[in-house]
Amino acid sequence: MLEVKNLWVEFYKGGKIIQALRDTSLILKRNEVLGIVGESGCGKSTLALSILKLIPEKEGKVVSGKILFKGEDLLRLSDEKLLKIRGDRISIIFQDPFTSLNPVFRTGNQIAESLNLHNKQNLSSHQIEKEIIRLLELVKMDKPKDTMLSYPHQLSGGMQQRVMIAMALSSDPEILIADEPTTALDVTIQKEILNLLTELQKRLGLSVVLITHDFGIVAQTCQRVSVMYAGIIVEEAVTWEIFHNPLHPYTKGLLESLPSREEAGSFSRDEKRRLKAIPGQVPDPSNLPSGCKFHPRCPKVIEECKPQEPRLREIVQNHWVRCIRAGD
Amino acid sequence: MLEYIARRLLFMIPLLLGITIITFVVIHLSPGGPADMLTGLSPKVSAEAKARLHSLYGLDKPLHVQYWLWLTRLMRFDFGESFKDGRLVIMKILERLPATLLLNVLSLLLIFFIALPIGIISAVRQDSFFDKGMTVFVFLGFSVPAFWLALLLMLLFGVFLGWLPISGMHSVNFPYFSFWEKLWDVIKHLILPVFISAFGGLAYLSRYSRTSMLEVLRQDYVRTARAKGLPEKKVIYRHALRNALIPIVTLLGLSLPALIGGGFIFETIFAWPGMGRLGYQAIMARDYPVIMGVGVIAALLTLLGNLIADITYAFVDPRIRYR
Repeated sequence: MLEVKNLWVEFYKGGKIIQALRDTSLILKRNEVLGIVGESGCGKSTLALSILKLIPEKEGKVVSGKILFKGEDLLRLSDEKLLKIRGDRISIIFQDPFTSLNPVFRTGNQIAESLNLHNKQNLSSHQIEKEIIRLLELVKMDKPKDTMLSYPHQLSGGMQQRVMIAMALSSDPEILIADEPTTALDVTIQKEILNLLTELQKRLGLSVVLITHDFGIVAQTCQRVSVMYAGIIVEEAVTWEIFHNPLHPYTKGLLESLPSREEAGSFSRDEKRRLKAIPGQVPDPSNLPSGCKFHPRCPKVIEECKPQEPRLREIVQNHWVRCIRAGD
Repeated sequence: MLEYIARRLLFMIPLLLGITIITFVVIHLSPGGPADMLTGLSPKVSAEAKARLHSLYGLDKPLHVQYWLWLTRLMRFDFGESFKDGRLVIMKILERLPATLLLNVLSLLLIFFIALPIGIISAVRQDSFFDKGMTVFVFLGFSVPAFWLALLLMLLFGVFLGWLPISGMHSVNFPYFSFWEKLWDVIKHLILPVFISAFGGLAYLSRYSRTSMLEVLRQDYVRTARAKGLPEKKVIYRHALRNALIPIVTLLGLSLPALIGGGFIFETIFAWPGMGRLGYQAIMARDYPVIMGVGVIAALLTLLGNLIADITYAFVDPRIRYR
């Protein structure tokens, strides 16, 4: 469906070159929810934006690599052709719905704009209105007619994200990229939005790239996971496998830093264990360490980790790890 | 909304009072009075004659009494009579007001229709040749004093080239012109004053709209607009521009006082028969009623400009709704 091949992306900041993505590859299969997990600054949002060529030219660019959508390289398409895919066959939703909706247009108009843009059946304005209402009902808005006439600031965060989703789905896309879709929302709302996304994915047969820093969300929604660290994918497997047999020390660290529900409930006050954090900090992207980028923080580091970045190896079937010690 | 406007209009009353008090005090603090200006140069005028003049104008009364008298007359829309020629102040202002409004409205339009596109294009093509050129122009606009530039341009276009008249609003033989000739005559007289009074504003607003647009172009909703698949033109001229205009609209009202203030200087330089020149001449002659009258009208125009800006603000930004 969608294949990212050896993508290198650079950003320019204060005269320095920052390698945001280094040789990143991934494959999204039809009807699949693929999770991309990592700490902030690991390049996951960059990946989402580069797929649709949304990185502002002044800030950075794709240096090399391919993004194949049904065999066509999105990076080499003319602007005109790109616009027939962007927002049409591949849609994207963002982290903060409040800043992502245009404050001066009514939500209905913003959805209508997408509808008109990707209008496949030449709808009349009356049909467009009906279609907006259908979409708002699809994302479970209680009062679609009121929502249509509201400005974004009149809606709650959860409702704004629903509008964003409705807008993204208005073109009946094949792929939905969700860049931290629930991070800016309250916990209770997060759950609703995730459930909505999962339900819509099944109902509409969407293929979804879900970008998140939260393994809990991955467990609930994704079939497969790619774990990213410092601009590169370090581990990739089906969700169950990652949770039960994490092979990369970074993935293990991330999973150990999650509070599990049973644990949290069973601890008495004096027993309370501190959540395990990965020691050290995410490396400065303009000054990455040599070799395996995780080695300064890795509990299992050996001399061989330092000179060269490890290759991605298939340790168990369909379970890929970028660590020379994996499988030891 | 109507209630809001009514309230704002009510609030203008204390503001106007404050402005008139300050104007009144300042003008009386300045050395020399109308009697001196009329008589000071003549050694033949006796002290008694001066005193007579003083009491004639009511200047022998204490300041607060004078102010109160002036204010009570103003309540009845009576601006008094000019000390200089005894004509009604309101008449003197009314015959000057159209010229001032013409000049100011035109330069305001010029500022907006030239500075706005310059700023927007500069922002969209940041660091391009155009952007850099405009930065130099803006730098000049900020640094060159407009009155000096006015004199240079008068010299160039009026004296050396002889293309444009350098003063007044009409030619001497204006009454004998046909309608089209009259129109052309006024336009020719307008070119330099309009350009000069727009000059500073051009630099300022183009810079301001560039900043505003750059700010908006960084916003998430612009990225959303691109992500929708909108062509870049629509992203910029529909989604970004609409938001960038919001802060610029407020400037519309705020630039009005500057234009009226500038009018005092430019109208004098170009001998433009407007309110600014009337005010300048009145100040020179210590013609208190005229000064106060011009002050009140200018303050009123300024406050109205602010009100209009606030109302437009509510129209362009749905997040603002006045209670």
